[in-house]
Amino acid sequence: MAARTRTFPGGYVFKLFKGAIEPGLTVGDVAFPSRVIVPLSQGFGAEVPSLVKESDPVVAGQIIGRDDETVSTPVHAPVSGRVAGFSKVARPGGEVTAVEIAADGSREWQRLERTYGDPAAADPKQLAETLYLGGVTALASKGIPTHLNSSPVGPDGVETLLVSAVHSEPYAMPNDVVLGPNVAAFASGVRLLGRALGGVRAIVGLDERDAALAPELESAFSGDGVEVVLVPAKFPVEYDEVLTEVLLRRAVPDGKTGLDVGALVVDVQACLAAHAACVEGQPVIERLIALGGTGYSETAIVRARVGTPARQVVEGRLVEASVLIENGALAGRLVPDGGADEAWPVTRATWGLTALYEDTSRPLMGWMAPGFDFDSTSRVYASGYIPPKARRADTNLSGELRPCIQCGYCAEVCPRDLLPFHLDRLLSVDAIDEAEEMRLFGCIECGLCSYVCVSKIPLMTHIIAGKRHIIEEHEAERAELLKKQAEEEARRATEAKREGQGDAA
Amino acid sequence: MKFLRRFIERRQEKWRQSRLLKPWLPLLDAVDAFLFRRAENAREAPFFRDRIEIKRYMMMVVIALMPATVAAVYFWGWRCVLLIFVSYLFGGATEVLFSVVRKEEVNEGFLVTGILFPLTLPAATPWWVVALGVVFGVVIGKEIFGGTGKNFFNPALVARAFVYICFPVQTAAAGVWEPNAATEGWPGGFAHWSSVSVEANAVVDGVSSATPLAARKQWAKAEAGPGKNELKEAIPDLKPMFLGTVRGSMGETSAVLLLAGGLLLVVCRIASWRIILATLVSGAAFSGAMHAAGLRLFAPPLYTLLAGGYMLGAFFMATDPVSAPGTKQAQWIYGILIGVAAVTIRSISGYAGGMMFAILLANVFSPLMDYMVMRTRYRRRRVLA
Repeated sequence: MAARTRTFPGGYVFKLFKGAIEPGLTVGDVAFPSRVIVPLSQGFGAEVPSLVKESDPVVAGQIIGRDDETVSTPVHAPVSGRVAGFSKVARPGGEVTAVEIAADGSREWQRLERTYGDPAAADPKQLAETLYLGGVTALASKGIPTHLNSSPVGPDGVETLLVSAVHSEPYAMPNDVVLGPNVAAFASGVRLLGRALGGVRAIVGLDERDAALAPELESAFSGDGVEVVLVPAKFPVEYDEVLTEVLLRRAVPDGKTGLDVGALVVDVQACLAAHAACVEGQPVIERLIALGGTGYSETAIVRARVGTPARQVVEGRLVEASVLIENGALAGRLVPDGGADEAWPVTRATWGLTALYEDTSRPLMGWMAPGFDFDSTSRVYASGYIPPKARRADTNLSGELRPCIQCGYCAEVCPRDLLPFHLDRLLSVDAIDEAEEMRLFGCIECGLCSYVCVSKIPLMTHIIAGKRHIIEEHEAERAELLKKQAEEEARRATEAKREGQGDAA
Repeated sequence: MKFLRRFIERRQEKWRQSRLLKPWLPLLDAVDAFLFRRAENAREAPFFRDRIEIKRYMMMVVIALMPATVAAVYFWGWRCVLLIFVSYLFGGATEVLFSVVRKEEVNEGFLVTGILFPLTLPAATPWWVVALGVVFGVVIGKEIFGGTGKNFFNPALVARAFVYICFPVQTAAAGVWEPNAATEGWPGGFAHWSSVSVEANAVVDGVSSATPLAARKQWAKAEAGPGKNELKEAIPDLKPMFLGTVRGSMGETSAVLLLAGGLLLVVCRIASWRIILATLVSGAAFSGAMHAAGLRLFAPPLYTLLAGGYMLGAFFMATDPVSAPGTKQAQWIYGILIGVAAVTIRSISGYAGGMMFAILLANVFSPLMDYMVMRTRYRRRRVLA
């Protein structure tokens, strides 16, 4: 069966960049942490209450936070030792409580209670429970649905499992390290995820550049009905909404994710984690982390325990002037203070710590440079004509903030066919209703519009702020409505009471 | 270079403290930003950015206009450079004045307007007409709407329309000056300040002094007879029109050089190829169809494209992103409107050229076109948030 290549309109192909992770790297280890910080919300899911108290002894793999009532997934102790205390850690949704554990140095971990020699014959419900207890269900953008409240969608809502084995960001985790040597485990993971979801069909979207892996994957899947499809490494193909459109040819409505149209998107590491949990009994206490970018003197891929301070993971590898970013350089988040205070950990949702060189030099007439290694959507630099050379990537904006001139680049690269420049214009004058009509909520926050902007306008930031503003307004409206209803009811109740009294009188 | 940077930095420091000089900081900042890249770094995603910036973007347009500008000097002498200098000087000063009042940075959009406007003028235009025109274009065409990015007319064309209407005598000189290259050969205008003496301005030699468009119109409108044949001979061939050795404005005559510059813009992805293609094809097709239908006032397709400001307008004026529509579909409509309107105006109205009015007309409708396209586009895919 020949794998087909499918694509999508818009998007942007990031060619080779300086500081890219070279193929053929082996996975390195980082020093075993003496102290870990374990946020009680990692990956998808609400913050869970802690089940441990200060100075409690814990074993690696032990569940230290769990709440079956809220949409969440249990959190594990990644190392053995003693609970040293609690702290607050900045996470995407706001601050969350973290359990600090002083490690005793033992690398052993506690196996999950139930494992399966032959997952293909296992009961789907039990498999799902093991995935939940192993922490795997947090490894999807809206969680992996199970009957245990791990996702806002129920387990019946999934019709297709989509695996993203593609990386289109310049500093993403490459397939040849994470997938290449682990094809059997990966295939097993895909199979048992499919089974846990009730036997749904699965499609693997494989990076076009790794087409050499396709025959091996197909033979590993032979007879399972798992399809392997080649997809182009065009950003942001690995995004939930885009991959669903690419692999299923089904449009994802604005403001929805793949799960809303019955497609669950997971990445390679999630499949490997599923295999590790169900077959080897290992909960998600370890992650492979890609250390790529121009901020490293040497790029690497390392295996680190969850909760290891970011600073410790990158120790000794950074160049002097650099910024540290969790996950991709396009839509990732800045590590606070560059992780300087050692209180900022990697979590089970971290796949990379990208470091970019912080260029503060002020070259003379820099904008007139021929630009042999400048990356640009336009072709105003020599790099547009003379291939191939690794492109430069640093944090300098390389230009001043200017008014929008409607050049149209943002609309050209938008994978959702939006008009970011127009949305920005509408939001700047508070034309909220019009912006909503112009599909403001179609934005999937990939950051390409900000990337290509000639006038250096932070379009994505403005759009995200606009969305939040509207959501808050809606919530305020609803609260107002509820308050009015409550008041009305109270008034009616007192009136009824008074009437009752009147009758009695 | 460090010396220069330190010099500017020290000046900035001083100006900031001086009450008298502080308002003029935008000027100094503009010089600073022009010379040295800012050390501003991304603090929000995406953490690295496309290397393009507005200065490079605008400068590419100026570079694309260079062949036509050099040709203008060759055809008409060094006076052309003076006119461009005057345009930059007065337009730039206006721009700085506005940024000082607004307390904003000076915008680079003027780099293009400053050279585009004089290129639409005949080489004999008095310098004060250029100065007045460019100030009018910057103020009325751009700044009163709120500055760069908010104007809905192309400022260079607003300026051109202004001088066209207010100074018809001074700008009619297009028909008077013969391009040097046609008569002298190398080094042509490079050896002259201007190609004719000022007295020649007064001598209007009826037939031979017409631009290609005017010559054709005179012939088409004339009564049949021996006079008509004479007029026909005055119509230039396509070859000199293609090369540019015909009468006309400084930068508009040489179709081949404008084509070269325009293609550079398309290859660089700065100008919208949709607008260019729509303008060229619709104009040629409309004119050609009317011509084929027996209407002699309409020129054959190639003549239409090569005559007057059609090339300059299609490649450099219509593609101004601010005043053109932003959606792809609207860009097609916009180009077609320009083509049809330009051909109509230049063929049957009293004006010789139609490109300027056609583009200004399309500018008026471009927000409406965008609006219509967005309406139809988003009716299909409703918000489901």
